[in-house]
Amino acid sequence: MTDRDRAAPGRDPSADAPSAHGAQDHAHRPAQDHAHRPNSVPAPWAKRILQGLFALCAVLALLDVPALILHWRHEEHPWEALPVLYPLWGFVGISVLIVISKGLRRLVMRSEDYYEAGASRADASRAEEGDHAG
Amino acid sequence: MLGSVPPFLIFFAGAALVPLVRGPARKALLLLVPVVGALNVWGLPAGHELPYAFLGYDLLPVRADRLSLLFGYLFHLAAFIAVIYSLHLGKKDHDTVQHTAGMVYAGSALGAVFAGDFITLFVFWELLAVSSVFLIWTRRTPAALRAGMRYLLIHVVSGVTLLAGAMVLAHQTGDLSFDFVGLDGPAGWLIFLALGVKAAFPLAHSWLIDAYPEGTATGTVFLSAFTTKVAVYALARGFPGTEALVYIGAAMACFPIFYAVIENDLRRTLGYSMINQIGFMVCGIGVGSALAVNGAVAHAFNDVLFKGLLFMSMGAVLHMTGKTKASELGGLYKTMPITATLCIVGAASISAVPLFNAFVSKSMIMSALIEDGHLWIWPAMLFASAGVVEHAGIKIPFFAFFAHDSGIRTREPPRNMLAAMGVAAAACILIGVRPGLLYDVLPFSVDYQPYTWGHVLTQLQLLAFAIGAVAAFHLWKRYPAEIPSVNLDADWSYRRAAPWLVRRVGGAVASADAAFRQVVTGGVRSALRGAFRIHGPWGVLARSWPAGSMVLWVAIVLAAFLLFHFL
Repeated sequence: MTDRDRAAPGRDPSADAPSAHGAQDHAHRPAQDHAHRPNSVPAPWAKRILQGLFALCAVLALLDVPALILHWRHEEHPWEALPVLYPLWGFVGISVLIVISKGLRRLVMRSEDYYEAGASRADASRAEEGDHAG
Repeated sequence: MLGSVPPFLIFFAGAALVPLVRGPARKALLLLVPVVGALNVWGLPAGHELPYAFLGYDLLPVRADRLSLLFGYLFHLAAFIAVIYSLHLGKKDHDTVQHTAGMVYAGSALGAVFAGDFITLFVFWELLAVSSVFLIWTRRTPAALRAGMRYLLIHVVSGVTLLAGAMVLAHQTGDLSFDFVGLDGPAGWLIFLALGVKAAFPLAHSWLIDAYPEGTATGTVFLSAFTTKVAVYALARGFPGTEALVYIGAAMACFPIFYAVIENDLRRTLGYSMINQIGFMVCGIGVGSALAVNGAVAHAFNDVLFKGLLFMSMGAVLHMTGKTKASELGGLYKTMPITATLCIVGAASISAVPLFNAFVSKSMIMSALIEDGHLWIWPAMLFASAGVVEHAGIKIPFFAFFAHDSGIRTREPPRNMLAAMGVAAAACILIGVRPGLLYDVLPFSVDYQPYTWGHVLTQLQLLAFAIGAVAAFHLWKRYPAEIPSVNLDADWSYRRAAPWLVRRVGGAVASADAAFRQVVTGGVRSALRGAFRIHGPWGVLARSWPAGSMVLWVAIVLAAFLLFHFL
């Protein structure tokens, strides 16, 4: 694997200030520019939407109390008797998913032309062989 | 007459007529074919069979029962939506190729689900591959040409494996009818493998994420509806209750969601999402109970609608902007509000929000898993359900229509595209609100009550907290950013590793071959040189030739004679 094949493994352009590796950074400029573009949803709207979402989460989690007391939830799986199982599974599950995926990026992410560069190299060498044969 | 025509024939006739007409007549023809086909299938009674003897085999090209009829209805609906979506195509889009291929492709899918024997199934299995590849090639980019070739190769191999399995089966049992197969014996495994490739089993899945994003905006909508659902149908027919499918399905549901988080191409993200959804269906088929198989085929029905809707919304974005990458999109809600809304309906459906269609079908599979005692698979599938919300529920609409403003200002797509998305969105909501419409035509009659307070509450909790986690990661600026990139997957093995290996092994073999040839030719050459030295014009035996040579040989013969005499 050459440096050209490696597309900023694990570096999250939106998260950090530009790193010290100036030369390497050059290749990732578009992504960084992109991350610095303004959000399309106006900030007050976004704030209100998020507040609504977190309020909904709180209400839904609290509804587990009457649900468990009044047996709204007809437990099929033994774990379902646990309070806040579903909220916990949703939140922790997604957090673990995102963290592992960022790790996966270090392992599998390559530059956009990873395959195409190989294909065009193969085409070129085939053409060269064709020339020799001719 | 209706009710007696093999369903695929109507589509093949349509495909034959498509190149002959243009303009409004073409549009009318394209719309008429699925409508006439649907009326025909509606008239097919369950239990209808159309036997046909061929080369001494009793074939069954048409077999209608509750399972095949359900997929028959589904494919007509899918073809109708996809046809509406592709009505705007013009000459520059190679419309005749796309429309003809679409008709043959839909007809082949119908042929495959109504096939009552393996020979018929094999024929339509291969036709599916050959017709659908044109929907990829018509994009006419070098990447699409290469991806289409890989797609075709893999599917032809799947077809040949199916045929091999069918031959072994026919040899063992003398019967080619396509019923329960099971995994006893090589025939069952070969057929299982062939279906597995088309159903995108783990490690055999990469054709899907490789080829689907390379198709045309309209072609990928066709692609998303048929191939994998035919495989799901065939698994439900041939392998219900096969334990291995539970684990394969769980793996399919879980591993693609990690890739979906970091994938930059939004249509490829939908490809991963598709494997994840097929995982739920495969899992249900593996459980094999009436509730589970009902859930699996109902989920297949729903998936065609909501995945089609999501692919259509991304196709509309591709059509209007020429882009589908998260890193190049964003802020499109300002100029494409209707498309954005329809995309969100699809996102809500796939996430199984109550009152949308997947809510019921997914819960059937989840309940069946517990009923069947798969207590450790259930949490994994619950995790996969939450993962769906992350990548298909949030990521797709968020990065395309909201997120960072890409500065792209465009318009809504053509009206026919909006209409097709509208039909799919309406169907998603209708089935969600009135599940009885779909659930009355499922293969088994099962009494299942999804809308209980407890179930609605737990599902909303799961969804809200999953979305909350995504929002929290965005707020902390720790959410994986959109980066122009590709991610290595199983296709790396044949796109990079195998060619490298072939070059290396080929090189080694070539040099060993060259060395061997050199040794052999060297030996032959020195033998020739030696012979030449003795027998050549200046050789020992040539010096006294011919009298000297004769005297020498006479002397040798006499000496030998003398020797034998003494002995």
